[in-house]
Amino acid sequence: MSEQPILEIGGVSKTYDGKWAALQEVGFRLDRGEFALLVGPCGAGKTTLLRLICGQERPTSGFIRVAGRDVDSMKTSRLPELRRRLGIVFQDGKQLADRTIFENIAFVLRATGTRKKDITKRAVNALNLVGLAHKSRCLPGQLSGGEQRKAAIARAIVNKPVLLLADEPTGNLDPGASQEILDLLTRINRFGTTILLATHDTNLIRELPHRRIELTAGRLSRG
Amino acid sequence: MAYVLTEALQAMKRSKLTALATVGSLTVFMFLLGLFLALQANLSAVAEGIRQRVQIEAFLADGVGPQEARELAEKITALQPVASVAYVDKDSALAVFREHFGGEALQALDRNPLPASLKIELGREHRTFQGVEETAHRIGEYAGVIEVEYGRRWLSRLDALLSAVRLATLAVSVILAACTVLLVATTIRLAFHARRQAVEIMHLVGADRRLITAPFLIEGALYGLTGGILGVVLLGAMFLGVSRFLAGLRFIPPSLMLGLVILAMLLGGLGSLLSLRRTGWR
Repeated sequence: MSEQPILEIGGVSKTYDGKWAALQEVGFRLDRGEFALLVGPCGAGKTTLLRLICGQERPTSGFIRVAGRDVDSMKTSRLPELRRRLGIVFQDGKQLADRTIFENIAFVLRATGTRKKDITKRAVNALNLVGLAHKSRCLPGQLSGGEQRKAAIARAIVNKPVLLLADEPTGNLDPGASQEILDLLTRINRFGTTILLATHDTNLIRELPHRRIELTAGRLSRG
Repeated sequence: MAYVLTEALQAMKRSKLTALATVGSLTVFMFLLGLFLALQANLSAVAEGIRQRVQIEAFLADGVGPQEARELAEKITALQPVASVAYVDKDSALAVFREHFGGEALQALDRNPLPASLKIELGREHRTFQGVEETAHRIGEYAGVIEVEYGRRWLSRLDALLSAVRLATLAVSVILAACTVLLVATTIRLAFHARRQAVEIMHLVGADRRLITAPFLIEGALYGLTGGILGVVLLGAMFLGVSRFLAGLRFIPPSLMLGLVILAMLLGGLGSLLSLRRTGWR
């Protein structure tokens, strides 16, 4: 018997206002430790799919399972528990501008009920992993675009997620900074974290050996 | 809890001007509420003092002798609202009259024109306009009683004034409480919008719903608490100032002061709750 997949999606469709189909019959699975690229042009449904995986929206039909748990039918009150097991790198970074990089990470740890004495240790570890320990006291606005993404990744992995969802983590970055982000994600993946990276930048991923899940106009064109 | 309190205090610190305006307004609201309560307490005390002196005087016909008067007094004493009855005979009435108006008064008359009377005091709880009027009416129906007097006009005015003050205090309290809730609700709504991104991040990283909303609830309650304390302090300061010129002025009791502060805190919390409901978080 094969190991339970980290992410299992079957026949997922998402329709807005009963007529606008963002996703149609999408299905694939991600095994533990996999690094998959969710690719497709803008508007293909990548962000919608990520939103469905973390329970921000519900699919119109189909099922989504994360680590064996049904997300599509999960009670709203159970969603926080699921999200604590996921790491999300948002398209726009979503850093709190009035708090330092360290405080941004500590804020997430406090909000998810981490004990006070563990907060500093875990935040520093995460910053060390992304190479930003020396900038922990900087505000997000004082960092370069690439460093801001690294800070967002540090925040996403601080709770040791079973699945890391990264939505356009290299968007608006120069090729050098983008490569650094990809290297960092590859390193995190080597530590055992399953990663699903959504991007529309085909040039960037041309050389990457990872599996590609391709969306075109809401349909899976390659899984 | 420490996290919730820190977040609430930091939020207040970050929006100093809004916090200051909210606390300032709540201070005025609570001051006004306390002022009305103090006003009512003082008027009630004055009214109570007046009531203590209320008595019914039943004048007796000339034919009623001391023995019959005593029997009548016993009957009246048996009435439920009556606390005590004192008999004043014709001679005593004349003596009291002369004491007030001089020894020469009524000397030209060959007989004492003043009637004997019964002075009736009611139990404390019956000294309302209605209680006095009912009892006076019953006493007036006894044979031998020619007239009953009890300060009808001013007693009814006093009761009407007290009822009006009570009603005004209630109306002002309701309006001020509603203002407090609405003000805090608006402030928290602004705070929620200012921290929308933080809320969204907390939501997406799996923070407990209660942990997301608790800082806002605490913030509202803290606004109420601060406004309540400052309002009571301001009222106390004003009372100290005024009591120099008005001896016997009563301040609201400590239990009521504490009640005001707690009420302000609860109203603040309620304002937050309403605001969070509107944003869909409660």
